[in-house]
Amino acid sequence: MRQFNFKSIKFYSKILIYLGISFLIYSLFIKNKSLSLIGLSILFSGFVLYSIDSKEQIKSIFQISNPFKINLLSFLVGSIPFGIFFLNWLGFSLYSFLYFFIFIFSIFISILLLFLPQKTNLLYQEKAVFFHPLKNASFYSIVLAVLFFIFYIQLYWYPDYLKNISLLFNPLSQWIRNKPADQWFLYGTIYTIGIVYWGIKFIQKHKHQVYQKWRTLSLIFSQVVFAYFIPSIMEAFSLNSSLDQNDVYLGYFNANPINSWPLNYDFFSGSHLEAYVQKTYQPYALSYFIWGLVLFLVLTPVFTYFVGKRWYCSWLCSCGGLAETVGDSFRHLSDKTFKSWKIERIVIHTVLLFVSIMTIAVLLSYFSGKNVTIVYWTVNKTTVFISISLILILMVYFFYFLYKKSTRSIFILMIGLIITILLFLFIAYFSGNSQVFIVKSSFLKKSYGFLIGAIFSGILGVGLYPILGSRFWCRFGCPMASYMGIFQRFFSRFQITVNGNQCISCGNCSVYCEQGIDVRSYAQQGLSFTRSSCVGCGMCATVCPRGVLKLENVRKKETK
Amino acid sequence: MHVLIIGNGVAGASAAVELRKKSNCTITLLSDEHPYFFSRTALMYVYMGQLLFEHTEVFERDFWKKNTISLLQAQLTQINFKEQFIILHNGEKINYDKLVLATGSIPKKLNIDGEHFKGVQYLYSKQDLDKLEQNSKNVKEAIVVGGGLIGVELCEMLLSRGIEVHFFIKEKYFWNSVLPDTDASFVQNYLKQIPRLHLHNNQVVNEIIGDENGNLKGIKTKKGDFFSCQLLGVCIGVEPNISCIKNTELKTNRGILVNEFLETSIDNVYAIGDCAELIFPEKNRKSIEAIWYSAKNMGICVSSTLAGPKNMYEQGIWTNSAKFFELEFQCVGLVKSTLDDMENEFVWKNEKKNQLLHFIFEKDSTKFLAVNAIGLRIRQKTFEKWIKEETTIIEVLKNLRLALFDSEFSKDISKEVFRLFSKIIFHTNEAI
Ligand SMILES: Cc1cc2nc3c(=O)[nH]c(=O)nc-3n(C[C@H](O)[C@H](O)[C@H](O)COP(=O)(O)OP(=O)(O)OC[C@H]3O[C@@H](n4cnc5c(N)ncnc54)[C@H](O)[C@@H]3O)c2cc1C
Ligand code: SF4
Ligand code: SF4
Repeated sequence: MRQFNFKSIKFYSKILIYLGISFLIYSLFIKNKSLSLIGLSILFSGFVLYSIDSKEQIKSIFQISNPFKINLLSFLVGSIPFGIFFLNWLGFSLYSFLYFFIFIFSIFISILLLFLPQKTNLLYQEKAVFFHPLKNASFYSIVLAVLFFIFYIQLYWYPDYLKNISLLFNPLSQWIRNKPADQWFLYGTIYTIGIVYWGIKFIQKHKHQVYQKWRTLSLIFSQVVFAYFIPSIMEAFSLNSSLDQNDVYLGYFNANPINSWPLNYDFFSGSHLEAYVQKTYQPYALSYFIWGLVLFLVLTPVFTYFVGKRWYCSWLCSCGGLAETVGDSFRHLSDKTFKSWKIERIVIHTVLLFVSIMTIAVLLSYFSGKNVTIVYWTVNKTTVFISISLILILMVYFFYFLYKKSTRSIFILMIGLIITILLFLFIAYFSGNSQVFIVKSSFLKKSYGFLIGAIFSGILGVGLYPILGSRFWCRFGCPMASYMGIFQRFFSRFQITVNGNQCISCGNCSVYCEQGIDVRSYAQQGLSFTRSSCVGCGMCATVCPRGVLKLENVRKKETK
Repeated sequence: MHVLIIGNGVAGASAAVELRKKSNCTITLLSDEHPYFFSRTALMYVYMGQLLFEHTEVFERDFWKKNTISLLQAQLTQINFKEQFIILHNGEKINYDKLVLATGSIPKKLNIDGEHFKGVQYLYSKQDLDKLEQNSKNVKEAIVVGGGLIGVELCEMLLSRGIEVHFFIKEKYFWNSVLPDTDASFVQNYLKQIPRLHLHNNQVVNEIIGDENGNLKGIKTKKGDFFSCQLLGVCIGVEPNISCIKNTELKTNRGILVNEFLETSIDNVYAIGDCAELIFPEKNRKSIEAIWYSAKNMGICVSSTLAGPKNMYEQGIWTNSAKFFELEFQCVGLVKSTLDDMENEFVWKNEKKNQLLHFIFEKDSTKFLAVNAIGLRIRQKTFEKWIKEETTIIEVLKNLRLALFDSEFSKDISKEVFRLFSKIIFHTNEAI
């Protein structure tokens, strides 16, 4: 009998998947439901076919002992909200209150299922990331990434396509914000649900690791309270993004108390500055502004000095929160080569420079020819210019004071950055019109928002999770990370301590470092280390089978 | 000068890398297993899907080229010590000025009937792992023989693929040949709770039974019981791999005999790692220590001798570590399976959290000697310092907090340990 060729199946199934995707995209554009249903079924059959590569595999699907068969119950329950989400996305109108209830209820049940006493089999399955079709940068991952891309593009530029899913969350939006849901509310909600669900899953997976437990609880808390509820409640009480009696829009500022500049690049934008001094928003808006200044200028350096940048990156930040929970299954995909380390250092500092220059341009052009009174304080272009210069010069002094020979390269980098920013500041001040650096400041801001805000941090940052790992944005792009990274490397107590010569060079630590740090190269030499990109997630210490690593805050002696 | 190193395990590779830091001689690293140095200890994670094999390679591949260390994948079959050259399996001849033998170990055989059946195998090399991948397809029940570290790793590997595992242990408790009864029974109790793992203590496999096609069917124990299985993992220890120098003038016993400079009986020939046997081991230490750390230290040590001047190998303070499923084990200093006359012990344990600390100290001087830690991470350097400085056990326990290495936010157990200790002294009135 002729042997059946499984290779050709692979080929045809791939064609089916591509066909399904094109149908889907096309149907989205012409808003045709039946076409999208056809696309979906083609895609699905393609997937099923693709996953069959041998006769044994077909057989093993029906074997009870197959550990890689997904826990059926939780899978079924978990697929209900996915299904509702998907069908709405495709244009079906499944957004009545009943669907919303089923959506939330099945997520709740699915979370409860996580707490069932788990068979160890499941843990093995969780850990075997390199056998999982989605977690292994395989063909499936590309498909997943494409879905992410489509979602983000629609979110930023074609929100109409997300209308049905937004409507699904209308009851929730009405309840907590007193307003109908829009695409940003939808985004915030699924973002939060993602962090809560996968966060709990993460804690279950590492429940014996106390550090992981507290860290993840903090991330969940921060996302739910700071990033989700506080801003929503502010809106509900007409303290942000609201209208006055005559239906005039009063302005918007980002009310998330831990979303600090430079991650929140809009913090100093004209529209936000106006919202901070908006009378109806007081005293909250102005307090938020002052808090933001203190957070960025005082608290960030101080906290980073005591515990490293992890207090932010892997305890509070929303981007970090998503990476640590939803992205946990992809952390091992980050590139560990020396080359990517080089690229990382150039790119991340360039973004920091970009955001600083952009902010200066926006600030100076906003204040040029204008006096703004904030309580007792009158601010104009010159005051802004002088304050920024003072801050920068103080920073130079500060760094010089703490300068240690061992960190010479980062010292030079730091001074170089500050001097460049100062230079731009002078140009901006003396060029004297809204066109501070040849181009308009609004153009600078728009390009930053488009290139960095939307494409880098959103579409690529999250979209590439399944291919380049979960912290692609945090590692290569985030200006906040780069700002804190300089402090961490330069004068922080944080370090990863290596336990004598206990390392067996197994490589687990390096593989599971989402920041692509080759931890093993330090561990096997018995060298404790601090890398500026380390977000202190502690995974290297958690996965190390020999207890070699520990995250610590220690007073470092003068090194070398 | 051409330094030829046979075997690119941790011993051989460390020797090459460290030698390159000290000298610009020609270095060739030869192995028949895999062209790049990889971590043997990580093989289990590859099978379990936690790592890819390429992740076990310790250095980036272009590292070797950058450091001009030539790699060669070939098998050495013969050495001519007089004219200083070796012959490879393909007949090629390579000259050397200095030869370093780092051929590692081979797994011990059961030496009983039926060891040739398909499905009977060992776990040591990359090839063994590939074989396991083949052999464990469609297996429902497996038997692992040998109550040691590689055995328990193999159990975990097979369980991760949903295979029912029977673990045959000759001793009363798992790893009892090394651990004292308290610790071994503690680990044994932990292992008992692992689903689908069946422990068979005090059992010896007597015969392997297969069918007429040469496939494995099961085993028979000494007591005469039959256990069916489709895979039999034999992990009863390792012995030095000296097959390539058998019947030469090089002096061997169980391993290749070396002096304290790691020199063999022939000039310009050295032996390091698992295959080396020390003629004069230090007090309380073994002449062959087949562990990662010793192999690495020997490699680093011999690199100095090769670059000159001669460097003496010191075994130093014994330390080892392991992991049984989720339970971590670490020791500093030697906790013997039975106490010496001179020694006294103090054990603290928390059965609920699977934590145990086992301290050994001298009876008269109360000098701290060694510690076993299970389910807890400890600071190796701190304990080493205490051993070197002959700190008393009371001082050690008083300052225990400094020597704990568990992650931040873990419960600090040092006070609890000290309280228990004070209670015991108070009740027994021992001269402490
Ligand atoms: C599964 C497993 C888990 C382990 N876990 C631990 C652990 O957790 N902790 C610990 O301390 N130790 C552990 N060990 C032991 C540790 O791996 C060894 O002690 C260590 O690898 C020895 O290193 P080596 O360089 O001496 O020899 P090896 O690593 O064995 O290297 C020898 C190399 O030489 C090659 N070779 C031999 N003969 C020839 C020839 N004639 N021609 C060409 N090449 C040849 C071999 O193919 C091999 O590649 C473990 C071992 C195994 C098998
Ligand atoms: S080095 Fe460790 S703590 Fe730092 S980012 Fe990598 S895995 Fe996390
Ligand atoms: S995980 Fe631990 S033992 Fe493995 S390479 Fe990293 S530090 Fe070493």
